[in-house]
Amino acid sequence: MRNRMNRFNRLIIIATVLFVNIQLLSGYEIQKMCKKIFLNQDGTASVVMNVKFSTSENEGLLQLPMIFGNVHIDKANFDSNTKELDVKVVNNDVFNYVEIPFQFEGGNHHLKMDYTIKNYLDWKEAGPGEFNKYEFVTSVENTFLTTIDTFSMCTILPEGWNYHKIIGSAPKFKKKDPKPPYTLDQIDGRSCATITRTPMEYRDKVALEFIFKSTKKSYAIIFISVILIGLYLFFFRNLVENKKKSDVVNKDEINSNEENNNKGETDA
Amino acid sequence: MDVSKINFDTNLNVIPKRPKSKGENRLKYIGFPLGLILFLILYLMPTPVGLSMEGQVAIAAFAAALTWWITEPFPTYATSLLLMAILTFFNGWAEEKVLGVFGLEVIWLNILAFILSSTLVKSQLAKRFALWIGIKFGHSSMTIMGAFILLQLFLAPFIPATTARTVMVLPVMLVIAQIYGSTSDNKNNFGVNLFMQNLQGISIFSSGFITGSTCNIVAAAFIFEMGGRRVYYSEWMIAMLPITIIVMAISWWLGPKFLFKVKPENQVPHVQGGFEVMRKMLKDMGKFSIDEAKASAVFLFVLFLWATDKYHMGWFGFEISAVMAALVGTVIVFLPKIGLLKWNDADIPWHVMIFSAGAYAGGLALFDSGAARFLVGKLFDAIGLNGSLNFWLVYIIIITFAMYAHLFFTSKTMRSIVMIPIIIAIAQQMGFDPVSLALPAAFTLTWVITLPTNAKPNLILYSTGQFSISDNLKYGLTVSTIGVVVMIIAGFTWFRWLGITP
Repeated sequence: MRNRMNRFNRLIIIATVLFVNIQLLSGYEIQKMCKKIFLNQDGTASVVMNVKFSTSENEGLLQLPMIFGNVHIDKANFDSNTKELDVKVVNNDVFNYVEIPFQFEGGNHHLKMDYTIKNYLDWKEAGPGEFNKYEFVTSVENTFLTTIDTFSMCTILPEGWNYHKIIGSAPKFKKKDPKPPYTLDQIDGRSCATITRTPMEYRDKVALEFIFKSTKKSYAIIFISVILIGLYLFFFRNLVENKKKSDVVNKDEINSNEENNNKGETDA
Repeated sequence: MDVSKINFDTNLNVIPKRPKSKGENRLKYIGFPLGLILFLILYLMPTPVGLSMEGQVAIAAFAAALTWWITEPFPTYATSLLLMAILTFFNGWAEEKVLGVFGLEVIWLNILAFILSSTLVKSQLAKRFALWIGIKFGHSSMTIMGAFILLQLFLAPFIPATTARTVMVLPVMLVIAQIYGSTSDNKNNFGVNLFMQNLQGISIFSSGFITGSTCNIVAAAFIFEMGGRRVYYSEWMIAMLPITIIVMAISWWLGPKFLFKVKPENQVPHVQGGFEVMRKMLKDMGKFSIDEAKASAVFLFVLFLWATDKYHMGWFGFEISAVMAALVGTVIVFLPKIGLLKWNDADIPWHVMIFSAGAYAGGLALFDSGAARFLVGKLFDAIGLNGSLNFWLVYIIIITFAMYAHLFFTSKTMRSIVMIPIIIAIAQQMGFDPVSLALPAAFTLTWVITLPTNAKPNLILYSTGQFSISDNLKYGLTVSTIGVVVMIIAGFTWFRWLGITP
């Protein structure tokens, strides 16, 4: 066990040194990274990733953390250029990342990459629990030394589903915080929860643990309510019927009051 | 007055019934359908963008409960239980959390405080003090009015139940009013001033102590749980007690001199024999009993622990919270030989505990689900409040709103539960320290002094016929407005010096 840990630590150190050098060589800074994770009914997730970065180099290798395995790159381009990029998903036994060679003038650039993650949401594992609730966690970690100035992750539920409750997050929502790090919104009629971390440094995580439910509600409650209202209005009609009956009620209350010999009641 | 007819005992666990007016019966009749329809609309509508489904249920359940608390188709405690059930059935808050509310500090402190107050009644210490103060200061109208204000000031830290305080002092007040020629059939301005000042004293002095009312404890719990800061007994008392004394002193002077001028003939006792009744009652009580001495010792001990909470860590190496101090006091009063109370003597209004637990569950569900924050956001959008607004403008708006909110919302605890989390959220959203707005707002929660229907002590006092609704409105609105002005001045000076406001 101890040997394994030592091996793991060595790997981390090697990887760290390696990426420090790569970063120095490539010389890029990531200002903003946004991942929109569209959860699909079939359990796959379609991810749209937008990265704003700046580089002083005209040519190099852009490397970005890729926490998910089983990824298929659908399309990727720089600065809305139609030319498809040659994206390579690399696994170095410790973590995944993507490598994208670039060749353009130094300055600010924008990468848009769409990819699909297979078997991302296991519906059977997620639920249904009590009240037909499903529970899931989306999580991303910065496995690179490069600091991402602002990172946001938006998890979009399948159509017909909504967030019941956010039960955990990274960064954590503390009682004293003015507002939670996440917000609930809608994208194309689908419910989404966006969580942001500013900045996202090495080993920082962005995660959202949530419960979600179908938006369908049982309308049987309407029928039950109508019956209850009808019964109430019928059996308590003496409250508004006429003065005499109302007086009878009041007299009963007064008599009961006298019997109880009440002297006071606390205020609430 | 026949001494045997004056009863100083209390029976808080039995709810007095009051005949309902025609309007109240109509409200009651439409209340149930109204609440249910409101729930259906809010629950079945598509979940608003920015709100979780849990938050939607919490809002729907709370709106229905609020409607039922106001219109009272069922008793308030039954509505609280129903709210707990709805929250659980519709998954607005987890069952264990809903049920766990009854174990919260706030409920325990209430129960223990009512047990401790029962010792005052059983030992007859309160009765002796009320009689003594009446005899000692009852020879001129201003001094006797002042003496009753002081009596209320004395009772407020010991007896959280405002109705208990009312009931204890009421027989003595009736005797004194009679001595000064004011009866229910033939009231004069002495009676109006005496009863109105006591009504105000009961409510306003409750804001001077964290234990003065359930709503204060609830507010402090919210400030701790949501604002992350514990408000100590001593902190609360130092901040608010001087303000309550200033306002009551103004009221004591303003009422008989300007609002309800007391005629010269009513400024002196009419019936000298009236004092004899009180003297006889006091004489009949005999010497200061052992039970009274025990009750005094326990109360002083608990008060000492409450007042010195900040120093416990240094003295004992651990902190004795308000609830634990009350618990220690309760243990003492129940001990055989040493104590003076048996379980059957403990007068605990369980219906208030149930009501509080349900209301607290509803309020916490609103906060926990993010619904309170969502509603505040919508409120901001509606009235155009934003982060650039000056703190003092927000402070003045909140203090004014909190002070006059009792005109619309009867229950202090309910206002505490509804308003304090929202004010904390407002402060947090605008980047202010939550305590700087929530604590001053909490100070005004017990100021329920404008109408007989504002609080049960008001109704009890109103039932004596010593003042009219218009008298109450006139005096109450004047003192409430004075309260707003003093609170605003305190915000700029006293609270700032104490570090409550920036």
